[in-house]
Amino acid sequence: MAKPFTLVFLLSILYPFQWILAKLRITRLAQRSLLHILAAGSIPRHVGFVMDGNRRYARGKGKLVQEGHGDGYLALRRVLEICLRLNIRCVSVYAFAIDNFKRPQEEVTALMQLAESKLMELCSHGDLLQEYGVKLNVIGRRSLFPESVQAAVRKAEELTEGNNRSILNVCMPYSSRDEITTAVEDCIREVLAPANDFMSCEISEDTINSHLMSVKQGSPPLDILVRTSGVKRLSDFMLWQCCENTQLHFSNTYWPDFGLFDFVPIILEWQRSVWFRRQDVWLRDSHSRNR
Amino acid sequence: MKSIFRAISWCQQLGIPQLSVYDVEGIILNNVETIREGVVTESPFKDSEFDRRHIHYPPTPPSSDYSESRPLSPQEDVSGGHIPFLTLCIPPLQSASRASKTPQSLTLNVLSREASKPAIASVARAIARTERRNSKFGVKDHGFKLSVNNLESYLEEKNGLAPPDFMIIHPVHPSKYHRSPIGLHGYPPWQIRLTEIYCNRFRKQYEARLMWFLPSHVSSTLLSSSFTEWEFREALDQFASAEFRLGK
Repeated sequence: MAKPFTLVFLLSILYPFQWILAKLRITRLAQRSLLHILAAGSIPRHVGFVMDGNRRYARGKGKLVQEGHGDGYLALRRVLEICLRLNIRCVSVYAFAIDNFKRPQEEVTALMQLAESKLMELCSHGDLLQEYGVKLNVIGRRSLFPESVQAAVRKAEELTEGNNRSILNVCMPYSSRDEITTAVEDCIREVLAPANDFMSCEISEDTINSHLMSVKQGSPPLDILVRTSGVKRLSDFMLWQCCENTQLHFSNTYWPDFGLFDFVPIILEWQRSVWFRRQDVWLRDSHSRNR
Repeated sequence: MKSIFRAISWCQQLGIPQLSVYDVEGIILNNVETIREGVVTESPFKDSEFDRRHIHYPPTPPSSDYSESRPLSPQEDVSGGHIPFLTLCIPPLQSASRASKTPQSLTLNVLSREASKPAIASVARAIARTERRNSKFGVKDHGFKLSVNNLESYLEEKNGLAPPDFMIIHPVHPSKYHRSPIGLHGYPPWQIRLTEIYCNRFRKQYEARLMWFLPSHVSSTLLSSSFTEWEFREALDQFASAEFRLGK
């Protein structure tokens, strides 16, 4: 008597479970095909993300701030995979600002530990960066980090040195003014070098541009900058690179929640603007030909 | 130009001490005389907020044949370097009722692309020249070091351009500009580190959609490109609600 009941009971659990599994696979397939379609159009070469809102996200969900940063790391992986599938050649993320050292000591320590462990995880064999041939560059004033983090950074960079398909710039601890100042300092040092012609003092904006830490490591010009959590400021991220020819997008979602459906409109806007630019050029050319 | 006059009068009413206007092609710089003549208003004084504004105009399409904006740099050869921009000091309004509050004069900075990256390059050149002179005179050669604060003082203080607290991006030809997302078009990068940015494309986008049915030369005249009070108020609301955490 009991057997048919248990059978029915088991089936009633298994069928929905199977249905959910099948549905999830379809969702993933749908996402991947969407990315394929987008990648067929024009794609920006360099996208920057200011990963803001981890703490507010954590507070909103009643979690600890450190957990918020952990969820932020997962979001980073997610977004990075999306970018790599879209064939975006260079991604920069603002991981830690020099000003962030002012935060409470336990948060800073937790962030350092997160950085150490996750850097190694990202660069390990078989993981995301190796799978897509991504070279990791850590940009910023590393001497401000504790020695253990510096060692992890060196090791992570070594592991991905040979990769050349894409670039990931993790900016930590970074400040754009610091980057510009270092670039200017390098330019001046070059000009002052005794080997140089005594009268020459040629520093142009292109010289400074080529001495920026990110550009020195092979980054193309920044095409899109995305700032999450609704804040509409640049906060010292890539000021030099984004003040010209860069589209700024301010998204209201917090970084740990940022995903495919937040990013797709941004890419679509990019493609739209490229299309309009091409149209304008075409119109102008046809007018000048007609004259 | 109407937008600039309106912006000037509103800033004076609110007591904003500094206003910078920027456009890539230097159109404003070429029309500075018009601004000088037009600045006479008699509105009563309201209240004071200590912040600086900046209004920034993306270039008009198609790119017009304006001559290079004239750089008006003070010709100093000290290591201060020079950022080419023009400053007008607009005298305070006649305050009828509020005798207790001291009226503030509005400083108007007119910028073009010369004040942006090329300015940083020229500051770098000036510093290099000074360093070279010092080394000629036998000052000890430590290996040149430049700190952020040092460069900041050259770019922001004295002859420099102060960082704006708030930036309003206003397209001059909205019929074309609803199409492109927010861009900075080369505003001086150093100064915008902590500047709150406001740009409202969507209102104009809606109106612009209706205009697609009309041929372009008609629609660009119909769509108002002036900076409206509504936009200004919205921008101020956004600024008021912004949180400044400064890294902490």
